[in-house]
Amino acid sequence: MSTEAPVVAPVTRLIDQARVDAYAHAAHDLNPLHLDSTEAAASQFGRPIAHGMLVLALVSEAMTNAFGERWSEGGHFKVRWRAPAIPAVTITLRAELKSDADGVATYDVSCEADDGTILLTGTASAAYD
Amino acid sequence: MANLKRGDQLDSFEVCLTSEDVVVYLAATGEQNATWDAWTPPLAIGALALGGLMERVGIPEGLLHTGQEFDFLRPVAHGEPVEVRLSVASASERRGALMIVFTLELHATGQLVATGRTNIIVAPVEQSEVPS
Repeated sequence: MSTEAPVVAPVTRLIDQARVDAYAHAAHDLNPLHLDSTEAAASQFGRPIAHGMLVLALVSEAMTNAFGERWSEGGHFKVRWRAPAIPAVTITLRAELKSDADGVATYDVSCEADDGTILLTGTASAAYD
Repeated sequence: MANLKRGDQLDSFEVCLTSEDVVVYLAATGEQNATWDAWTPPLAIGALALGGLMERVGIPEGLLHTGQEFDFLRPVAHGEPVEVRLSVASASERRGALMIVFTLELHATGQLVATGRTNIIVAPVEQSEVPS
């Protein structure tokens, strides 16, 4: 690959209830908290929230775009969710190079909702040479 | 879930994503990358592993998935079965909230292909904080 750490480009995605429903079936995660359900309506949010793993998927997508197959062969991430993503919401993943040593690039990553709410923070790294 | 303690091991189980499953997953997330024409997105495997975890421990009211970590060690082909091994790294209670960390090991064709840690909080409903 490159001799310099790749730039991890931002990824922006609309997460609406249709996407959440599709993800619930694709990931076999039918937790009613994420679906149009009485449980979601009775929750503290009063409506469904997106799967955290669906938000996290933006991190994986951005790292795959930058590193290709290397992401699944030595990739690492560690994240915490900071706030729920309530559909419909447009989310942007951003990654900033944090360190670059021995051919492994590490990025600070965050997912931000269109209202400025930080939904997820953490780090992601992969080898590039 | 309240009965879980450090060192507990859950029954292992198998997940497998066919090419069709990968297409459905990518359509759901919105991701498009030719890398996944042959390989399975590792996060898709992780998602199924977590789904299996939730099935086995149940989803109590107030359960929050607050943190996640994964190391991906080698690509997994479409249709390659992956064995999921889960154990409890820690379990504690604070202010009425149950905090559990699970460790995950994913094995395929006799090789360790990924490891992970999953942070769960089961909070009293009125104290729920950051869900996922």
